[in-house]
Amino acid sequence: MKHARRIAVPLGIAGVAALALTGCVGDAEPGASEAPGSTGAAAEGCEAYADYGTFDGAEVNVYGTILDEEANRLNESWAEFEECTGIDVVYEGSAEFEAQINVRVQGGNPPDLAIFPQPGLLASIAGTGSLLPAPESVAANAEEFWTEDWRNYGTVDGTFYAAPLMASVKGYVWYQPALWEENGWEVPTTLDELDELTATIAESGTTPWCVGFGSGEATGWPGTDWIEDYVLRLHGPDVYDQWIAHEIPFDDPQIAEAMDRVGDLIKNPEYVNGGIGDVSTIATTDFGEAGLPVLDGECAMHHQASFYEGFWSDDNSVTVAEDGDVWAFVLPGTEADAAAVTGGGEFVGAFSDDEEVVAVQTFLSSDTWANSRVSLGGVISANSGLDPANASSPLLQSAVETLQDPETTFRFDGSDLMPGAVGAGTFWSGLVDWVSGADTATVLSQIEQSWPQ
Amino acid sequence: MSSVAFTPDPEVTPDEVAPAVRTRADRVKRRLTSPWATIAALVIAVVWTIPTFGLLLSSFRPADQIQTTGWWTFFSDPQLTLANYSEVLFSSSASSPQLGEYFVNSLAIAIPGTLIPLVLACLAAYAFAWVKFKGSSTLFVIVFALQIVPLQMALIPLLQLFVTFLQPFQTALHEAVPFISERQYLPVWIAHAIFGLPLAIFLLHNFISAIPADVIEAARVDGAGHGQIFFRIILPLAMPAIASFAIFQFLWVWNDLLVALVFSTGTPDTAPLTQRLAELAGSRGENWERLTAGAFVSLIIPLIVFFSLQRYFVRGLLAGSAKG
Amino acid sequence: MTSMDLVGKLLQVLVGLVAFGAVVALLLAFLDRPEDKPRAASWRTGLRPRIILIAAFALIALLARLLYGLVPWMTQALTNAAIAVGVAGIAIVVLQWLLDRLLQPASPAVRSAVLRGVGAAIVVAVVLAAQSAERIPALDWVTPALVLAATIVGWPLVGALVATAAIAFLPDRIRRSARLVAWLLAAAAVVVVALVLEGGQEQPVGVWPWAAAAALSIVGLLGYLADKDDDSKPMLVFLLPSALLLTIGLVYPAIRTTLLAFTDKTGAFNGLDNFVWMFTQPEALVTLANTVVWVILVPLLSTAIGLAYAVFIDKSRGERVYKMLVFMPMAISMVGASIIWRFMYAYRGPEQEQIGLVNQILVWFGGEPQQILQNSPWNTLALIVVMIWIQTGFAMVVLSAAIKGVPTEQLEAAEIDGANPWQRFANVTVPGIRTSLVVVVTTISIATLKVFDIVRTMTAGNFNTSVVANEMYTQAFRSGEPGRGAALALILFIMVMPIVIYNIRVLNQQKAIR
Repeated sequence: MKHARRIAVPLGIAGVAALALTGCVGDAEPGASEAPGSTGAAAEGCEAYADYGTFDGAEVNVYGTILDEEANRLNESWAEFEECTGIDVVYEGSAEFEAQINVRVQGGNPPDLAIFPQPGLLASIAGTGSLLPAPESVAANAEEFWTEDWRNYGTVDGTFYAAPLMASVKGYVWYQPALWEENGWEVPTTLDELDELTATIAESGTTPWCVGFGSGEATGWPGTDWIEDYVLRLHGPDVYDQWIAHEIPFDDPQIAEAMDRVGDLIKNPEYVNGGIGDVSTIATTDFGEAGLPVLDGECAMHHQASFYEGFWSDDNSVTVAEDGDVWAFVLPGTEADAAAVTGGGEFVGAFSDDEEVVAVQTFLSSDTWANSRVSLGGVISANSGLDPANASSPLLQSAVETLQDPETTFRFDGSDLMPGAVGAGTFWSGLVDWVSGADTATVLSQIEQSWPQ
Repeated sequence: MSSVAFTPDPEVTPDEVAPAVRTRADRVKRRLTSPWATIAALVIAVVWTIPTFGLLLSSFRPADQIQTTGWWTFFSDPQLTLANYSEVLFSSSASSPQLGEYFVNSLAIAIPGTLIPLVLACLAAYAFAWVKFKGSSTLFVIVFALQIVPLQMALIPLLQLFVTFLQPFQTALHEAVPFISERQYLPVWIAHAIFGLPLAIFLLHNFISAIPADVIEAARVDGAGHGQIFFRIILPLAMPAIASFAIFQFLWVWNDLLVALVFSTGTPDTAPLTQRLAELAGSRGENWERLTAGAFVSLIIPLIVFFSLQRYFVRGLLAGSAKG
Repeated sequence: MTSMDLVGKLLQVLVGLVAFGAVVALLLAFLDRPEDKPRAASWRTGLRPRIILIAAFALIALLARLLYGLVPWMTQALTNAAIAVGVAGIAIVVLQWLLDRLLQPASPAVRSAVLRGVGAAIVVAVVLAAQSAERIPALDWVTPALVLAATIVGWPLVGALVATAAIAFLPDRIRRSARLVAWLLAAAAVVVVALVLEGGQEQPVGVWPWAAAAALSIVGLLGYLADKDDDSKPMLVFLLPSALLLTIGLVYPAIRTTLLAFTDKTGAFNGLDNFVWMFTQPEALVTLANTVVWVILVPLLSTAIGLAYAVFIDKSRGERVYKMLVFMPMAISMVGASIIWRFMYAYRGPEQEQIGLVNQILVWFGGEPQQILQNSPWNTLALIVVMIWIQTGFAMVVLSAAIKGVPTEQLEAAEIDGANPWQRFANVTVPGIRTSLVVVVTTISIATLKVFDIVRTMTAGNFNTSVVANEMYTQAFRSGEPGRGAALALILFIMVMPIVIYNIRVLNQQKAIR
C-alpha cells in the first residue's frame, strides 16, 4: 500500500498549495455584486424604509405557525421592505411549530426570527437562554405603539423580548342577520339574555348553536375560548389573572360555575349541534367547518374569534356585514356595556442580533408594517399606529376600535399563558372529555392535578 | 437450506451455482385450489383497495361535492373535474400548493436517501455474515436493537451535531459553488441513512447469511479476497433482496415527514412533498379537494418504483432465508 | 422554480452521490492486495499520462480565468480555487515525477521518508508564509482566522510527517503501531494547541481544529489498516462507515435518552419520578395499555392476512395485479393513509347524508352512524385497522416470495402421502417459511411500537387512543418534559427486548446449522 501513501502526500501538498494560490485574481472583482436597483431606482417609494439601511444579499429566516394564504399575505406585507432594503426575508411556516421550535432551539439551529403564537411558548423558549432581548429600536416601537398589557405579554422576568405582531379578538358570536330579523331575534346585551335567547330559538325549532372543537393535534382549543370568555365576564379580570397564574386552583368553584354556564348551552342536546349531529359531534367537528351551518340557517349562532371571517367562503361570496349574509356580536358581559374581551396575538422574538435581523424585527414592530399587513385583509393588529380604516371589513374595523379603545379590558387567551402541559395539553384534552360526557368536577380536578408543580 | 436463492435466473446468477429444479416447479400445481380461496382473495383485494379508490375518485370530484356527499354517489350522479389537479399542480396563484418544486425535492432526497444506506448496509451485512471476527454476534445484536431507538429521541442530538460540524461545511460549499444553495439536502440524506441502516443491515444479513458456505469457501480456495467475494458472489446473488429492500427504503424516505420537518429547511429549496401536504392539511381544517389530489401526486413515484422493480419481489426479500 | 435552482439541486445530488461513491471506493481499495491491481500504478509511471495530466490541469486554470467575468456564476472564489487546483496539480505532477526519477534506486523506506520530508518542508513554508502574510502584499487575502488555522494544524502536521518519515526505518513489527501513534498524537496536538490558543485569543477558533484532528486520526487509521493483512482489516472496511453513522446517529442519542429519563424538566436528577408518573397517571396507563394492544394485534393480524392472501393468490392468474392492490397502501405515507381513513370514518348526523363509507354501510344495514374515532375503546381498533391495512402489503410480499422458495419436492411428497391442502400448508409450507415469518413479525412489531403519525393525524391521542410513541413526542416537545419523554422511550425499548431476544435465539440456531 505504499502507493496509496505516495498519492496522499502530493495530494496534501496540492491542497496546501491551493490555499496559497487562491489569491491569484483577488483584486479583479467585477462590479456584479451590487444589487440591482439598490441605489438609484430604490429611492422611489422607499422613503418609509430609509431608516432601516440597505443590505446587499442579506437574508433573514423567519419561522412561524402561519400557513398557506395567510403566509402569502405575510410575504406580501414585507415585499416592499425587501425591495427597498435588499434584505431577503425567507418565511417558513409549519403546523408543527410548537414542537419544532423546541427541537431547533435545543438542536442549536434556531431561525433568525420566530413568530410565537402565544406568550407561554415565548416564555418557555426565553427560559432556555437562547432568545435574545428585544433590541432598543424594537423596544422603542413597542413603547410607542402598544399598551402596557400587550408589552407585558412580550416580557419574561422583567426582560422585554418580543413585540406583538397581529392580534385577534375572541368571543364573537356569529349569526345570520336575515334569519334573525325574520324571527325577530335580538342581539343579547347580557349573558342572561343570551341564555333566554337560546331557549327561544330552540323552541322555534332551529338549533341555537353549532360548535366544533376539532383542530388536529390541537383539538379542544375552541372550547378553552368558551371557558375563558365566561370566566372573564362572570368574575372579572382579577380572578381571570389569578386563575391563569394558578393563584387559585384550576378547579375553583368560580371556574366550575363558568364552565357549567357554558355547559348549559353547548352540552344541552336541544341546543346543539345544528346541521352536524348531537353533542358528541362537537369534539370531532373541525373548528373551520363548525360555523358553516349558520349560512344555511341550520343553527343560529356560532362562537368563534374574529379571524373566522375568512372561513366563511374561499371566494368572498359571503358578505360579512351588519346587513350581509353573516355578522357577529361580542359575547356580552353580565351587565350591558361591560366591555371585556379576550384575544390572541403573535410575538416576534429574535435568536440573532445581526443588523439585518434587527432591521426586520424593528420593521415588524412598526406602524408601517401593521398598516401594510392589515390592509392586505383578514387580520388586525393592536398597534396603535394602525388606521382602523385599513381593516378589510366592517367587522375587523370594529375589532380594531375595540382593541384601541382605552376603556376595553383586554385579556390574553388564558390557555396560551398557562404552562404548556396544561394550556396546550390537559386543558384541551379535558374539554374534549367534557363535551364527550365527563362531568365538570372530574375534568377540572384532572386538569388541576396535571398543573406542573 | 432452501434452493430459492440459487434458483437460476439468467440475469443475476453466476455460472458456478448449480442449476436447480425450475422445470418441476412449473409442472406441479400446488396452490390451494379451492373456489373459496379465490373468493377470499378477491374479498381481501377489494377491501384493501376501496379506501384508496374512494380517495382517487374524490380527487376528481368538484370541491363542494366532496364535502357534502359520499364518493359512491358518483355512480348515480357522475361529475368529474380535473380542477383539483390543475390547482394543485399548475395554478400560478401565490396561494396554490405548487407541488412541482417539492416533487423535485422529494426525488432529490429519496434517491440518495435510498442508495447511501443500501450500499453501507450491504457492506456491513456481508461483514456480519461472512467475516469472522471477535464480537461479531454482540455487535450484530446491538445493531439490531438500535432499530427501536425512537427517531424522536435522536432528533435533537443529531441536529446539534449537524449544526456544529455540517453547517460550516455547507456554507463553505455554497461559497465555493454559488450554484449550490446554502440550504442543502445533505443533512436529510445523512439522517435517512442513519435511521435506515439498522433495519437494512438486519434484513440483508438474513439473506446474505443464507448463501451456502460452500460457494464462498470454493471462491476462497481459489484465492479470492473479501473484495472479490463481495462483488462477484454476494452482490449478484443478493440482488433480489437488495432490490426489494431498495423499494422499501425508497417508500419510507419518500413518505417520511418527521425527518424532513427537522432536517430540511422547510423552504422550497429542500422541503419534500410530504411537508407541503402536511401544511396544506393544517391551516384550514379539511381541504379535501387539495388533499385528495395532492395525495395522489405524491403516490405516483412510489407506484412507478414498485412496478419497475416488482419482478424482484418474485424472488424476493429474504427468500433465501426460507429454511426448515 | 427557476432553471438555475433546478441545476443547483441536480448538482447537489450529483456531487453528493459522486462523493459518497468515492468514499466507498477508497475504502474498498484497501481490501485488495497490490498484486490484485497491476494497473493501479500506471498513471504515475508513464510519460504520456503525466503530460496529459499537466495539460488537463493547465486547461482547468485557463478555463476558469477565461470564464471569470463572462458568466455570473464564476465567482472570484471559484476562479481562485480552480486556478489554485490547476497550478498545484501541475506542481505536484512535476515534483512527483522528479522525485520518482531521483529516488528510483532507493529503498521503499528511503522513498517514503523523502516524500514525507518534502511534504513537511512545504507545510512549514505555507505556515511561515501565512504567519508573515501581513508583510507580503500578494498575500493580503489571508485573514487572521486562516493564519490561526494554519498555525494550529500546520505544526502538528509537520511533526507527524517528520515522525512517520523516521518511523519508516523501523522494523515492520513496530512500524505500523508507531505510525498510528504518531498520527493520533498529531491529532491530539491540534486539539491541545487549539484549546490553548482559544484561551488567549479574542476570536474563537471554531470547529475547524476538531475537523482537522478527526482528519488526522482517520489518515492514521487508514494507513494502519492499509499496512495490515488479516481479517480484521476487511471487517473494519466493511463496518466502519455504518459503525460511524450509527454511533453518532443512534448510539449516542440512546445513551443520552437513558440519562435523560432520570431527570426532571430543569435537567436535575430526579430518580424514578418519571417512571412513577408513568405508572400512576391514569392517562399514561391507558397509553401503555393501548400500546400493548397495538403490538399484539397489528403484527398478528397483518401477518395472518398477508400469509393467507399470499397463499390464496399463489400461482393464480393475475397474481401481479393481486399483489399490487394489497401492496398499494405501503406506498402511501402514514399521513396519507390517515387522511384516507379519516375520510372513511367521517361522521355526519343520522339525519344527514353520510360522506364516510363505513358509516354509510352502517346506515345501509339499518344502523345508526357512529363516532368511530371517538368511542373508546373501539376507536383504538379503528386506528389499528389503518396500521394493519398498511402492513399487510409488507407481510404479503415477503411471505409470497418465501412460499415460492419452499421446495416443490416436499410438497409433492406430502401430496403423495395423501395430505390435504390444509395439511400441506400447515406441515410443509409454514415450517418452510418460518424464518421469513419471524422476520416479518419482528419488523412489523417494531414498526408498530414506533407508530406515531397515525395516532397524531387521526385523533392526536385524544379519546384514550394515545400510544407510547405519540405520548413521548407530546411530552418531550409539546409539554416541555423531556425527562418523561425519555422515560417513555426507555419503556418502549424494554417492550421490544423480548422480540430482540427471540431473534437472537433464531440467529444462533441459524449459525449452529451453518
